Amino acid sequence: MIYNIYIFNKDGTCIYNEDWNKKKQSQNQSEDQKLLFGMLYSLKAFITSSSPKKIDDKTGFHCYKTSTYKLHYYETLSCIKFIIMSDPNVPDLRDDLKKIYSQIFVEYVIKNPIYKPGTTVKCDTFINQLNLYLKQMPSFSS
Amino acid sequence: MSDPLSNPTINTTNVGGQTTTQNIIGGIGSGKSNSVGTPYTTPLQTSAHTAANSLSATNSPIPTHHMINSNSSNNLSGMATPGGPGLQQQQQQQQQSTISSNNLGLLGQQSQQQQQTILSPITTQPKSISASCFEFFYIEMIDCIMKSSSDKQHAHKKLDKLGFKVGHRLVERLSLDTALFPELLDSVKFICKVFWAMVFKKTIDGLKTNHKGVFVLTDSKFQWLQHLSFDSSASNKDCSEYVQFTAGLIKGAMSNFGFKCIVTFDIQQVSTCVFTIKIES
Amino acid sequence: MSKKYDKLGNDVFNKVEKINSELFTLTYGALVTQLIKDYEDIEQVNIKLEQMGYNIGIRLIEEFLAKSGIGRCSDFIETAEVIAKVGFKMFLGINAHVGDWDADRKEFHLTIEDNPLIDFVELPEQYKHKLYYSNILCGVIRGALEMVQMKVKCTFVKCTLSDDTTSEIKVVLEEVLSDMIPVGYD
Repeated sequence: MIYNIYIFNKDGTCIYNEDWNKKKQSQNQSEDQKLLFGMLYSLKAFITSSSPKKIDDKTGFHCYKTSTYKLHYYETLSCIKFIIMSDPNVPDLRDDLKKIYSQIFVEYVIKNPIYKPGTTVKCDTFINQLNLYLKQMPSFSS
Repeated sequence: MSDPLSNPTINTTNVGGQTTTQNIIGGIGSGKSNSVGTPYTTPLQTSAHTAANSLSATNSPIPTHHMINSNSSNNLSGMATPGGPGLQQQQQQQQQSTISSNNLGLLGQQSQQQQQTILSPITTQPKSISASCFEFFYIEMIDCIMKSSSDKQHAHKKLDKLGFKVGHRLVERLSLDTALFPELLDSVKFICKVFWAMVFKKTIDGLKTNHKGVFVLTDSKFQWLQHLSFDSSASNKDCSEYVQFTAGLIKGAMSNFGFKCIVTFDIQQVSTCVFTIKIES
Repeated sequence: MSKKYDKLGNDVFNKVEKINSELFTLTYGALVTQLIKDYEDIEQVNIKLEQMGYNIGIRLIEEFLAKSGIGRCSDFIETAEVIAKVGFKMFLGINAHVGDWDADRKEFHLTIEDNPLIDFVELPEQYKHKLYYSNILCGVIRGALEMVQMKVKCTFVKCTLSDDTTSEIKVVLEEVLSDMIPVGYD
């Protein structure tokens, strides 16, 4: 089951967020987003410093798992961060995140003349395509 | 295809049936192309393989009745650099030309001249760039024009003018191997097929006409609107600036065929664009 | 390293959707003409072209990263190779060469061959050495590199339109940017 998706740009702004199947409603969305970004920043820093071998801070961290959810992470070299939270049993979604970046985000956001880079994503077509893609995944509602 | 205007008494001779490409630089050429008001009066339809080049005639100082039988690409290109002729004309011609009886003498002279100024043969390979490269450039260009204009109307005028220049020159390069268009409809069909394919890699999906100088072209998947979408909450969903340039392209193309027209467009649902060409008689 | 990126550049270019470069050449030419009309000062035109290139670059980088699948470059030398062999190839279909490195390896020259922007273009005398016709390319490189944490300065040092034998862009690495620290974490 997929719970939500976050997309952050390089200065920490959450440019897209959508929730599905969530049982608990968040109190303050923007607080949650800031917390998430900050946590990931620290986590990446920690992972890089504690790794026994040299690790790339963008591609090193893939996911973490708790008793109630799994967080999948993909960061591009242009510092755009794609995060999906799913239930703990969902297999690694890193490849799906890569596809969402290259086939949906680049095509319908970056190539959208109406979209101004760095701003929140609200483009209709992107939202539709993203939902289409996620909902056809077997792990979306299982 | 039978051409009611072809003159059966003129014979063409090809040079062994093969194409020879010869380059004439600077020999022929006025700085600008002149669009003639009416289509050519003595078009020549010779064989299926060789065709008269209607547009090279407009660009040469030779009177317009003159037709050059050319089966190879004619590189007419242009960037208008201000204050100077940016157009370089290279004409690649076959040795034998078919001419209308009016200008036999003149052409005979001309061919000799051309042969004397022939340099080395050049074969030009069409160059490609990635479609997304142009798309990104296009987005920025529209943005730049919109920002540098005082209001939307002014911006649209600028885009129309820009499109006109580009369309006019593009058509010169495209219609090299094409037969003359005795009818307006053929020119429009050329735009729907060859021109559109060059710019958008597809043809126009629907063409309608009232045979009185009005043509309606429908592109149901207009390339430059494919990735465009608005916020669902947006109040202003006007993206006409992304299509205005194309209207200019059509206008410029038609003008090079010798037809002055007004081109308007209508953006319908999703990415369907309908262009209406009204010929000014 | 160069061979690997040569091959990658060719592979990506073969896969992407392509169009005839003439539309681009003519449209760019018409735009430059328009800019020259709008601005009286040629230097302003150069600046505007660079600015436009920057805006293009910040979008283009995403397409570049997505389509090429390039990973992180180990150093600026590798970055230069990637720009020349993959970047220029996959977008403009042309070959570019890296050379003229400085001692610190922070500055290089990019030689461009067969630039489609300048096809059939002739500059009038009064613009030679003043107008950097393809300055948009400098902006694209600057914008694209800034998105991958490198602050560079790009300038045209030679241009065939101004009667030089080659077209060369000088790229200077000014600063490597670090990830932005979130508010409240410093």
